Amino acid sequence: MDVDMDGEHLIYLYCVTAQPPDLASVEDQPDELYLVREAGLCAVVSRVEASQFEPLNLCRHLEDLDWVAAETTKHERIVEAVMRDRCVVPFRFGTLFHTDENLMMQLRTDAAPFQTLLEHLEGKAEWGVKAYCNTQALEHRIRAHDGPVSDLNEAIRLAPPGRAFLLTKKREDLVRATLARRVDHYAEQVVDALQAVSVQMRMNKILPPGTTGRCDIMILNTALLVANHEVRTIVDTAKTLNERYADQSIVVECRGPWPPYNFCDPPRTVANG
Amino acid sequence: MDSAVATEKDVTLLEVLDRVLDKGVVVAGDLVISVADVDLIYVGLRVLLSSVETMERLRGSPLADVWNESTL
Repeated sequence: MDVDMDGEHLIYLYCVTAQPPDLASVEDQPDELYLVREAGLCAVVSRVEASQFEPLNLCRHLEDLDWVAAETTKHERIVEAVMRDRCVVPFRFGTLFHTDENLMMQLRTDAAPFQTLLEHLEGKAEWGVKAYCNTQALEHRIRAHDGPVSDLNEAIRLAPPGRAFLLTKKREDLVRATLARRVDHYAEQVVDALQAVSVQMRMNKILPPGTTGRCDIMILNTALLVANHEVRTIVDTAKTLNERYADQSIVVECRGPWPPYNFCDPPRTVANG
Repeated sequence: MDSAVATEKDVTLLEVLDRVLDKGVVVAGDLVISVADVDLIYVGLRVLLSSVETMERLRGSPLADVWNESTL
């Protein structure tokens, strides 16, 4: 479209599907969505103000949490709405083209890998399972109930001051090591159980305390690709794990369905992938 | 989708950011925003997340209303 060549607008790509989705079902469209169809693929796009994404403006925007929250939420909401009745390949935030034609060229170039990906993802969705540990509570439990720690407590009680000091140091090391070992063990148990009921699993980085809005520590951050007919199983598995480890101060949370952001190994990546 | 699991979920903005900014297909399009310092955004997010962070939404039902009601 010539109108896109004016430099005032860019084409923002949200997701790609095989069959055309019903865009009217996406409520409250902030920008008018439309489809760019090429090579048996449908790209869900909208025209956006180019000025928003100019480097200087963008840097300012990215420091503005309100802007980031609103824009990423919009992106997610649109992809989720399309996902309701179509298998989607979701794109990363801010995938922009100058013209529809440029996008069509991209679709032609990547048609085969996108088709393969869509076939693979058909009938599946992404689920996120995270595990958290209240390490203070678990440490407290180890101090109170762990056998070797209790033995040291008793030894410290009976020892003369000098030896008690050394034993106390030994006990603190033991408590720390036991805590780390237990956390690893529970995380492994959760991974094993989830792996058995998912098509694919991806381990994501642990998000630091303070960013999660929780007091406990994240110990596991997984993304699972789950067949839609197995959703009940994955939800129940997470629930069972949560109940099993509740008295060890472990919380297991399952969230979904998500668009398969974690399972779209791109046909070609750029450096920031 | 299994409608039997259309239960209420809390999805934090952090989870959305973690996917939308950091995952998903990256193509060599005309322009791909590189959010190189996502960690910086996370740091800023602490302020947001520690106040009224949670977006409630009903999975498996029209999501838009719930999103609109969010306090973002």
